[in-house]
Amino acid sequence: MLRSVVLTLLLISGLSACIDPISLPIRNEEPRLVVDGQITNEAPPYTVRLTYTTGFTGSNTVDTPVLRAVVSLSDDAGRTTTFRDRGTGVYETTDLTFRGEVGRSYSLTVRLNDGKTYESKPEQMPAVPPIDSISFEVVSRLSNMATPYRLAYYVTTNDPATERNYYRWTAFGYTNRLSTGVPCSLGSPARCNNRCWTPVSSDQLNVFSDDAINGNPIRKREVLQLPIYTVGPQLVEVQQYGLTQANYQFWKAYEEQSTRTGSIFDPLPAPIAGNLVNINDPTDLARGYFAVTSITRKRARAQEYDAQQNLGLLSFISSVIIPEGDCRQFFGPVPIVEPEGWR
Amino acid sequence: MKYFFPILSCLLVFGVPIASAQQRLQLTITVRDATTQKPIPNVNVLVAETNAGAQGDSLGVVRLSQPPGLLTLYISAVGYFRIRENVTLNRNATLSFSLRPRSVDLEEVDVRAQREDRNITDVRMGQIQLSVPQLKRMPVVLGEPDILKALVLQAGVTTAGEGAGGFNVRGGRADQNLVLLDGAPLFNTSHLLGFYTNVSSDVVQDVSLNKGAFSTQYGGRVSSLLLMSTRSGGTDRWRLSGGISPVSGRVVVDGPISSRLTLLAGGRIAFPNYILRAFPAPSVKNSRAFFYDGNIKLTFTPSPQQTIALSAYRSEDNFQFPGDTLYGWQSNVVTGRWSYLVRPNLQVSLLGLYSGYRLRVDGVGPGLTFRFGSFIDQREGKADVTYTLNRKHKLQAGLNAILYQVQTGEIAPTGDQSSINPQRIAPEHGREGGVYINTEWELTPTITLQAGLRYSTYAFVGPRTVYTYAGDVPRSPETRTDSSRFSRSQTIQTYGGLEPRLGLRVQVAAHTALKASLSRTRQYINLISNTTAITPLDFWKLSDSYVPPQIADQVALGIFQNLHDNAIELSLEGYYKKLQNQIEYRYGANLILNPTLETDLLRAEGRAYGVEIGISKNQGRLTGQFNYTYARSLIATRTPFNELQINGGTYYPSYIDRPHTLNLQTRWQMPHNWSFTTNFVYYTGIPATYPDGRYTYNGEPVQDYSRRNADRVPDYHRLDVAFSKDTRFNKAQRRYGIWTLGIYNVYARKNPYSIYYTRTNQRTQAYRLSVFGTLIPSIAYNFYF
Repeated sequence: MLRSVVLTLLLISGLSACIDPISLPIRNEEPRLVVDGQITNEAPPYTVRLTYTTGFTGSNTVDTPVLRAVVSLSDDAGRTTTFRDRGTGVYETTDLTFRGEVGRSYSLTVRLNDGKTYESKPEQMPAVPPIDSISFEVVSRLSNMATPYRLAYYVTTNDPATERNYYRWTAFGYTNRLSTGVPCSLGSPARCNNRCWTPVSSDQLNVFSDDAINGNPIRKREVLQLPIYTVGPQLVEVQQYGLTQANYQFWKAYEEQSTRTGSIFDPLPAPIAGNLVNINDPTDLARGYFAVTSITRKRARAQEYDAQQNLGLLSFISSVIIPEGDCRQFFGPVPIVEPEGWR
Repeated sequence: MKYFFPILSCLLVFGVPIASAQQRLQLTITVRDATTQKPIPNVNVLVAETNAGAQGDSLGVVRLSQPPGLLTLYISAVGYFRIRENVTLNRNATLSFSLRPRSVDLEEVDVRAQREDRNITDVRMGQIQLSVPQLKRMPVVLGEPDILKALVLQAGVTTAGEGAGGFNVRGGRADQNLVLLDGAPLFNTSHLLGFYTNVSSDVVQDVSLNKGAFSTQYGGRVSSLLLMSTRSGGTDRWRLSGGISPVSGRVVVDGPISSRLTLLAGGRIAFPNYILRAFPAPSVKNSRAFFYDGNIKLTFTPSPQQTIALSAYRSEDNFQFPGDTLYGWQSNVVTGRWSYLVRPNLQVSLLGLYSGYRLRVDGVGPGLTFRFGSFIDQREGKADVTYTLNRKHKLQAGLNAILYQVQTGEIAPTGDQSSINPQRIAPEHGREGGVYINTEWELTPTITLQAGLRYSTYAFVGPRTVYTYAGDVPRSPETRTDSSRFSRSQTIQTYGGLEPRLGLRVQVAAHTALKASLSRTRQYINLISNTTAITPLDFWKLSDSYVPPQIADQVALGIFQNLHDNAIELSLEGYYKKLQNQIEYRYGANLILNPTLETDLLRAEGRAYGVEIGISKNQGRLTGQFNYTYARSLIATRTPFNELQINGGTYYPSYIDRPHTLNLQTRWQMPHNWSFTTNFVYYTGIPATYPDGRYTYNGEPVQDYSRRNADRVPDYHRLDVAFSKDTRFNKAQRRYGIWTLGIYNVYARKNPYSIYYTRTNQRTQAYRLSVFGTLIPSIAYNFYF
């Protein structure tokens, strides 16, 4: 809610405040362990990606993977499972019977090849209420010339009053793009490969706490926007995660970092503290997080949005250029028949 | 309390009787201020014919014995225009005259309320007096004269940045300043998120800031004392004055309601929206801002010995981002004061006050409309007695009692569709009491001692539920072990202690003085803020079982030298300050609506030290001042849990650490009532935390900030100039105006307000935010009718 503060500071001056990119001297610190992984209530395998922090350069550099680490996961029932090193820092569980359960606590241990051992405090997998419904509506972003019309998808969930709930949503979906296609067979008048199902994933972090609304419905939480290029169904799958409180706080810090505006409302910059700690040195905190989270999914097929009602949308759809040939030539290696599971 | 000093200084001086002669007639002259009708102390009368002179007493009375006949009298006093009067003396006579003050009129002399050599003769050090008339001629942002903007040009006073609220004195935080308006504390000093001071300079009589050991009469904040007193209405006639600048209009009316009752009423209202609407970007165009403030003061003088003053103040701000949250904050202050001069050397004063500060945030969002609020209320009663044993020895004693009520946060849904649940953090209640004694004693003509002792006591009281936490792990909501319920007015926690203060002046030569001071101060309220500058979202919190009171110990030494008949003042002051029980915040602390706020706070200790060098030239056509400060402000967290320590528990620069500060102000009085003023400021950039590593998480690059305040924002410097034109043709002109044309940031430097890093499209970039990226011209007009 504070994003516009910069502009506001500027306007107060009555003239131009300005924001300029600058380069500053760089101070670098020792590399630290970074953990990126999770256990869920869905089927294994579960993966963990281990890397080291690298010097701050601004642009992307290649991550330094952690090799030859010993990674294991244990629960509060005394079971432990080990991870297989798949190379490039990625580790994966091998025991397919070790499956996350809601209500059970899990702890990850990472032993590096220099002997340092990091451990996460056991976290109990929270429950997640099911998604009540997914709704959608046409929204316009006329400033975006390429995709001025989108279908925005919203979830509604009934938050249980009995417990603290922390949510995260991710979503992906398919939108249709048309080309003229190619003849289905030599000499056939029918056209094939003219409708591409282009996948789109949510790229915004979307977390929420029921602190302020406990026990009330979470209404119309936007989770995804799919651009509209043509008349046709869109397919959407929403994942709703139940987070632990610590994991929610981690995500909030993560979110805060990407929305800094330099204004007076910016919290002071801080490291995003993860949940793995060096067992011999409590000040040595790994970055990243090993999440213990539950997932519920729901799908929706948006067929009946009425372009006729929206003249702007109609004229946009009719203005979309339909290229000549197989749609995959233009829109990449995407499905040309409707993906399974939405009907 | 501010009025004490002039009154007392009057009492200290006794008229020198003039040798009487036989066969002469007694001439008794009473001299009053033409504006206020108050007696003018220490007037000088010269009789041209006999070359006899006499000095008046503290009540403006001059006694002369003169031979009968026609006499020409020259009557003068510091700060007033000299007059010549012809009288015919043929019997014992009593006459009265009035002198017109220069202060309202004048430009060539900046009338100083104190003696010219005050910096040598006064035992106090670390003092800053602001001249309000001068304020109006300074170059300021958009022509709005501003008290705090003028204060931060002084040595030892800094601010977090342009447009940031609050100010910092000698490495102290913004909540450590006791800002008193007619004796009542202000909990917020900002308009428009911090761009302007919320007290209009038009209604203020004088402003003084004490950076070091202030009198034991005052307590409750550890870093500084800023006293602002509003003017009393004039007793002779009604006046109207005001001004207009690009952002606001101001008007003040004052005058006598009856011979004993005067009124002053002033208000200021801002209209920044037309500037906003001029912007092409919708995010700016549709933002809305508004503020106003108003003061009323009634002064009733039933007898020459008694004064009853009632003053009220209100300020309000609204700020709205387009289609987004509306912020509003409001201060209300009411003060009543009764002072009674029991005997010429004994004054009693009673003060009752209310001061409140309220914040409101109206949030909008689908299904999530809410109103959030927080407030602090202070009610205080105070009694002071001042007793002047003789002109060298003054005693002061008194006591005060304060009731605090604080709401740190409360949220309620608004509208029918809101899913927000109401939530209210239990309000905090506290009581503070203090007794003090203070003496100022001129032991010998060259040695003056100021010694005082204050004892303050504080109780944090119910109703409240207080949690206890497991002792061997960091506090968190999960490590609560127990809770205790305290009923209304039941004491939960008490704190208190002595606050000794000492000042010593030794005049080592005619124009040279050495001064030293020592002080201890205690503070029982804290501003909770996890941002660099003060924001409207900050809230006040009382000391409780987990937040002990802040304690500061300061020692300062100074040498003061005046040259060329006090035309040039040199000063060199050094100080060292130790701060206990400062509040720091855990990484990722959540402060808003947190019922277990103590789990996110860390205890820290601070130290600050510095050297301030000042040169000022007070006389002549070209006047000005230069000051340079070297100062450090460091802080270190103190917690038994290593994982919570910031920077490993070592000292690191606090957010207000600015090692080098340089200010230069000049004022050139030109012919035809033009004057030209300039300000130049330079300071080291504030500490900042820059990323020192990167990694990938969730498929996106993330910056790592592992060390707090290890970097610095680039240095700040700026030059401002202003021309002002006084429209008077002669000094006696009653109706006139002053035009001020200014340019802020003349060489258009893009001074960094902050440096921040943000990631966009997989790339992280540093950005510099400059609040004023260019030069800002302004024009302002002030009128006096």
